[in-house]
Amino acid sequence: MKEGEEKFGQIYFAVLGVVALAFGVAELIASAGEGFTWGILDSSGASDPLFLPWKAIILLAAGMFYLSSVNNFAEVHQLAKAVMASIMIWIVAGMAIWARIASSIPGEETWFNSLEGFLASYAPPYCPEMFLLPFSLVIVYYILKEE
Amino acid sequence: MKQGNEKCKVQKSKAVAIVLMSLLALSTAVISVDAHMPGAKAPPEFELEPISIYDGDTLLEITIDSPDYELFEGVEEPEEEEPDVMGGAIFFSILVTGLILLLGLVYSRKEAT
Repeated sequence: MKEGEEKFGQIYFAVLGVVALAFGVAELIASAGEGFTWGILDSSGASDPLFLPWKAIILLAAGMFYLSSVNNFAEVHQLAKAVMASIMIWIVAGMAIWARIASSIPGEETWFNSLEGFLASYAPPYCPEMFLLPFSLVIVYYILKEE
Repeated sequence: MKQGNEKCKVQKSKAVAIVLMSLLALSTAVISVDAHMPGAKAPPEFELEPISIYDGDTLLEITIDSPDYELFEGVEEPEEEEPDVMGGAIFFSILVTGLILLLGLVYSRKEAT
């Protein structure tokens, strides 16, 4: 790994770690209360309120893994921490996306949803994990670099 | 011989099942149920009076036979939110593009190895 790439990785994953930690704290607070929806960000846990505290813990852990991986980022064990944090985000975000896909197909009173209803079910707001998902994919570049 | 015995057993079981089921049906038919409180008198006759409520300054009298539409006269229905089809379409297209890219990456890695 080049020095520039390592430096970029350190800064990038430090920022991502802080954001993941902030989202985790927000979800933890939301799970203690009734949740919140702020613009296109949804932490209401309306679909699965029991899973909200778990998601908060996962985000907090992912944030901490990212932050602990920043020091000496090029070292494979440190990189593994960032990979682990990313995988945690992928699992939770994947579940949220899968829930959307599954609920978008059947209609309310019919077997299959209309095209409008199908597309509308992918509309905002989105949970914090879904926001973190595209940014966590940057780790794939470092994985491919290591191979 | 063995088959004959088993057939006989099945027939006996069937007969027992039929007898038990008929007994159950009979028991529900025969047992009389007194659902009323013993010694209770018939309720006194009364007229169901209309419910009077104020809708602003106007007094409304609602009876059991008033038509439903009268109850909702002047009541504005809450507007249904328009579904955000465009937002959903944008997200869905990003999702599909992402999936195609992911599949492409996996396939290219496979080809390379």
